Amino acid sequence: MSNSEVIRIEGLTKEYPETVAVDRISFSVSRGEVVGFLGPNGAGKTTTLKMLTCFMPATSGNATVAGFDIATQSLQVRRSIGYLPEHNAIYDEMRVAEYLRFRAALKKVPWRKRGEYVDEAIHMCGLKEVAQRVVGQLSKGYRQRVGLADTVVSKPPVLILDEPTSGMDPGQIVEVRELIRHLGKENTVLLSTHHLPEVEHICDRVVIIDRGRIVLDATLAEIRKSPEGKKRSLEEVFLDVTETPSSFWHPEVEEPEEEPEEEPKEKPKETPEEKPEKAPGKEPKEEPEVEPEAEKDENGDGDGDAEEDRS
Amino acid sequence: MSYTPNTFASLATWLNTPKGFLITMLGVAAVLVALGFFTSTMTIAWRELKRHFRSLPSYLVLAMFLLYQGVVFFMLIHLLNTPNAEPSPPMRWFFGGVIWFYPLFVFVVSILTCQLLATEQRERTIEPLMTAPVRESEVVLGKFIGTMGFFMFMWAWTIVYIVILKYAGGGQQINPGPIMASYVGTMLISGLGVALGLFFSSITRDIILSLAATFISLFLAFIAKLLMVFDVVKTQGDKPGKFMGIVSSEWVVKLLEHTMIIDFMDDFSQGIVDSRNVIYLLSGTALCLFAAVRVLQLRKWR
Repeated sequence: MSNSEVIRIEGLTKEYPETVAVDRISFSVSRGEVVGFLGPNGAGKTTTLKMLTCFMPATSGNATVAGFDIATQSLQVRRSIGYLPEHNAIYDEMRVAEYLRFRAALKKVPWRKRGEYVDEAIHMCGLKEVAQRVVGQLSKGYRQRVGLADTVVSKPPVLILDEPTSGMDPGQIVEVRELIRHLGKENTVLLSTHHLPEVEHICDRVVIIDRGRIVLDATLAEIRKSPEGKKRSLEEVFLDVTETPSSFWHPEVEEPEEEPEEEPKEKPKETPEEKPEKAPGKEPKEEPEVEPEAEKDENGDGDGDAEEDRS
Repeated sequence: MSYTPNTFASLATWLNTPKGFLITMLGVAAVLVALGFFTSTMTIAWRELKRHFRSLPSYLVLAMFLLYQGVVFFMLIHLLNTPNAEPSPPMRWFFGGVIWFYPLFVFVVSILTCQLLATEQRERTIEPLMTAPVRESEVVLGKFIGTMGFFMFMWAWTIVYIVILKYAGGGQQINPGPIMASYVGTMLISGLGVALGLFFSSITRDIILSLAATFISLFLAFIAKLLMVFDVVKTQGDKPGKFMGIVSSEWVVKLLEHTMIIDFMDDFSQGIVDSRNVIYLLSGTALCLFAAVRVLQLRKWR
């Protein structure tokens, strides 16, 4: 693998008895990149991040984080990441500074440096005035910041954040956005969120996942310029590529029939390693399937057809 | 040194001397300190100990324990002071009195251990914990050591009784050997109880379920003791001499005699540190902790 790839995912799959939560996804994140990991609810974002952080094993496929394999070098992987879980659970009875010190110790920060690192994390996340408060009494925004401080307290090279701004008010969202942007200067950040403006402000690149598959992997600049030269917002692209039944929520917006015409032109550019839209079952022969599906996309009825077939 | 029962016997007597006891305790302390330097175990243990001092149930347990032990101690002294009582060392009865000690033990253990891993799983704090570079074994061992620390704190208060006996006991001699053996035994039995509670706490995220499981399993041992005391085992069953009509009642009695942790305190309180008992308790503790580690690792196969 090339040295600049900090996170590399290859065919990562998570199967449950009834469903396939994550289906053979592949992408990589380079050093110093801030990547937004988007998708509708239940698309498999959190599952992917849990597998990357070694909380959950993958059914198949593999991934490396900071050069360590998530299946076999779990301790080293966990040492080199800072992870903010979706449900940011913190021990309620501890004080903020004490909690961060505890976490720093768990993350094997040398004893002499713990105080310094904790102070830095507190300063960076604006927790100075609540450093001696009990975590259980903090507001949700502050709790989230404690979680963020926890992810940076050991100064890991990779940050994996699962919805860092959930439950925050607009002012706090702006602050956290600035914080992540600041962190992104030195670290590699993989950030999952629903909040699209956040992504447009912070991220260099966007990976969109839908029903366990990657449907888009492109830089923001690539997304913004559409072939006809007119600007497209991330939101439009997001709604295009994910199978959100937009007509169900907004009955007046009934243009999915028109959109496939402009989509296929840029799709091959954006998603060179795109997985087949629709793989009926988990048949062993993958290779033959890929090509017909890819052709289909080029013919321009990839998305539209898939949607119609499902509904 | 040959591997004979004698070796264990002499080890036990050596352990029983104040010097041997002190050296052993220092060794244990050294091991714990070493653990603190090299692993996350002590970090987790320290956090767990602090949690005990910040939770209401722990204080309730502490209050209940001290009140109960105080009443028992008072009643003991009162009984031993009656004119026709045989002269005997009060602490031997304090530690050896199973019927007094055990019901409290069941409550204390199940209340203190029910939260350990069940809360982590319910509140999902297990996720940040297990995505930090720590092993499952370190988590379980840390929680075990932290809770044992709270137990030691709880029992440390009973040293006051010995001080009272020494200075207000009318010049009665206090033999340190049996008392130390009693504390060792108490800690070993508590260790088994805590490990069992930790195991039950690991298999569920429901605190009440975990509490009930620990309580019932420890209470069953008490019921077995009652069966023995009232000789129920021998008279049970359709055929005479058969327990539940299946196995020989003699056999059941023998099994219970050797495995019942309740009876161990009787030996310890007389200053007998029987290596069989010690090994039985330690291996039981290790087994429960190992099972808890395995259950935590099960998460990875779901």
